[in-house]
Amino acid sequence: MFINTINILLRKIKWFPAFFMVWIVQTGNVHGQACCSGGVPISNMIGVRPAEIHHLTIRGTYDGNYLNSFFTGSDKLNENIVSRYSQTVFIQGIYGITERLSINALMNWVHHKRTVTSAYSDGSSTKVSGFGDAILLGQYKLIKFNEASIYLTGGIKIPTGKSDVKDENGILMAADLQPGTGSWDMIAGAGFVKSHFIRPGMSFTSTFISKLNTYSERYNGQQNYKYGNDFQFLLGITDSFFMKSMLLNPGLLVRFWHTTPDKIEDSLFPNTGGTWIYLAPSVNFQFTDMISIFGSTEIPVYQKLTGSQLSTTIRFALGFQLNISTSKNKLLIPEMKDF
Amino acid sequence: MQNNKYFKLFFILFFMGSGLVFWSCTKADEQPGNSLQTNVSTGENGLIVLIHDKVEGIPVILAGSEEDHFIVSFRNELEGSSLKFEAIQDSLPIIMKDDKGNSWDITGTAVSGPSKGEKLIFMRSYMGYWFSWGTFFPGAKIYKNPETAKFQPRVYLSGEWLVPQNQVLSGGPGKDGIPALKNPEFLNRIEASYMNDEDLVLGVVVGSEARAYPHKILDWHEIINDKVQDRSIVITYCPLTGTGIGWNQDQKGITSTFGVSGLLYNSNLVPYDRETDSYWSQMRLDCIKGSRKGEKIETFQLIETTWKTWKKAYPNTRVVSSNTGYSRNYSRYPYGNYKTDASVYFPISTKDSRLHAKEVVHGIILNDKAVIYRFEHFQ
Repeated sequence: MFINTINILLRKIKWFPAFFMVWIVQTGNVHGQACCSGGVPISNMIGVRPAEIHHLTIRGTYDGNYLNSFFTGSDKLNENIVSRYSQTVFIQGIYGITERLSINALMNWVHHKRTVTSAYSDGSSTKVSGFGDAILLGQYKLIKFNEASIYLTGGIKIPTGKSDVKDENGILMAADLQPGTGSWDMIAGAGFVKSHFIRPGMSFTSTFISKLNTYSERYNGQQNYKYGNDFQFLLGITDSFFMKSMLLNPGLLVRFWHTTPDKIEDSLFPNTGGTWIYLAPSVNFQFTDMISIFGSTEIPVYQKLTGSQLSTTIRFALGFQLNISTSKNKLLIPEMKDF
Repeated sequence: MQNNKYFKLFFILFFMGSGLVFWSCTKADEQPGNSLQTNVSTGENGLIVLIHDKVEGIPVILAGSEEDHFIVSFRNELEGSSLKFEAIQDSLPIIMKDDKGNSWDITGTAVSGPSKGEKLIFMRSYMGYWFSWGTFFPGAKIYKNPETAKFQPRVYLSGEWLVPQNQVLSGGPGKDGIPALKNPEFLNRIEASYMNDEDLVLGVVVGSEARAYPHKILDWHEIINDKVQDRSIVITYCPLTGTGIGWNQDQKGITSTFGVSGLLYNSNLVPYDRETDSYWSQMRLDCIKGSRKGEKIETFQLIETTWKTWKKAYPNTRVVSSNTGYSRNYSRYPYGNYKTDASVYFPISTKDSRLHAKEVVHGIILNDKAVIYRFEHFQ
């Protein structure tokens, strides 16, 4: 059934594989986020599916990212001098303007805490807080057929977050501790959603997202710095069960994430970029058509980093979703919540 | 008749060649510093070349070998008079002899002759990437290089920082994020199987004991607090400027251990002392923030060379073990292509493009000014 759907879709839009291939090649050629995987996880929030026409979805998410694993390449070292905990609160609004087109806006507030534990510094911490960068996306439902749909995503990341925060001594903080990146970046991607996958309450999601970054100025224009580009591929399934009067949606997502190394001027910045594969179980509780809450965790199952970097040990997210209809159309039951 | 023709041709070529040699020697004598190079012989080791020069009017003797990757410099003065040195090849650690019959080793100690046991005064000097010399000592004179750059006097500010605060930047890992070592384990040369002949080391000799501190350890730790015999020393090494400098732990009656502050001044290491939490500039050799601001650091001689050369000079040397207590892949250089490309990761106050940014040079510092010597003069 699923294969048949794919075949039918491919016959209907023969150019889609070509588009997909071109995008992969393009993304692969461009040159990752600053050292370690501890930046603001904006890319994680982009894979949300479009809203239905005249429906407004508001999502609030708390994301906690704990980094205490030190890697050289794919070797985890027995090292725990430096740890980081990045907490981000996201507010995201998605509105369906037409049957096919919806817009998606994302704001965030971030708090980074870095702790160094050594024989001489018993857990001294550096903390940085502030609004991060914003994202504005357009999502276009390319085709909907046989309980399946394909959509395209494109947009920009706007450097609303500060990237010149100084510490208590007036020293400019390192780039990976800054709330913002200072650069305007381009986002593009595509997604495939299949409802009634295997059984009526189950759905399958496949999402591809890329963030192509541009240079930003640092140190009062003395240096041009470019974060490496993100390339993400997500595969997930969710199911639906009724539990008393509440709808329960358990899900499992596999996230493949690759970033290319950062660049200073034309030179690669060492110890940045890498490849991660995460396994992410999630659960969504839908109380009414309008309100649901969700929770998820990300467990790194494969990490291959460029050089030596601090990397994610565990990550989790908690949030709520409000679905507001601005028309008389009924809401769809939310299924997979990418995070 | 035919023989006579070849005879004339030989004489013409002989006189032309002699003229050329004489002209090039005359040209060499015209170079700044009124210097003299003495090449004697070559053997299985790299050729040792000597340079007699003057820095700020002070006579100095430099000895070096490009192949063995070392340059050392001393004040050319013994009992009030200058000496004339001649290189000695293939006898490491002995590198030169003087016109009074003394033989001298690489630490500047007379190992034989009438002045046996005497030491030449070690010049305040160290090795490092050219760009760092250009920015810390703007207008530094480069030996035998006619190109000049504008001299800028050193900055001494009276505020919280001795240097412009906006030129002090976070390097990334945070204070003690790069862990300094204290009294590390040592191995003998046979046990040190993790070392390769071409690896660079910073060597120190105290009395009869020689120790080697490998770049491949220092790339990851930057500072080693150690005690050799009864002398407390600090090996400081900045991977971004390529500078390895020996500091005395005892400064003005205060014995300090040093850690990595995580800050950089002009892309160079800023150690901090754990006793007063004062911040120091590795290349400026003074305290730039804290209660000890303005104090000068006392240095001692570190010799940068290859492991092959060092262990040949000092077969009984001990070398820092890779068992440091920290989990690091010491066989991997952590900064990618940094050693050879032209990039500098953090902004610097002065850029001087007379040489390639990453050319490793030897600098002698006197009166806040520096004179630079290149390996090409030691080949």
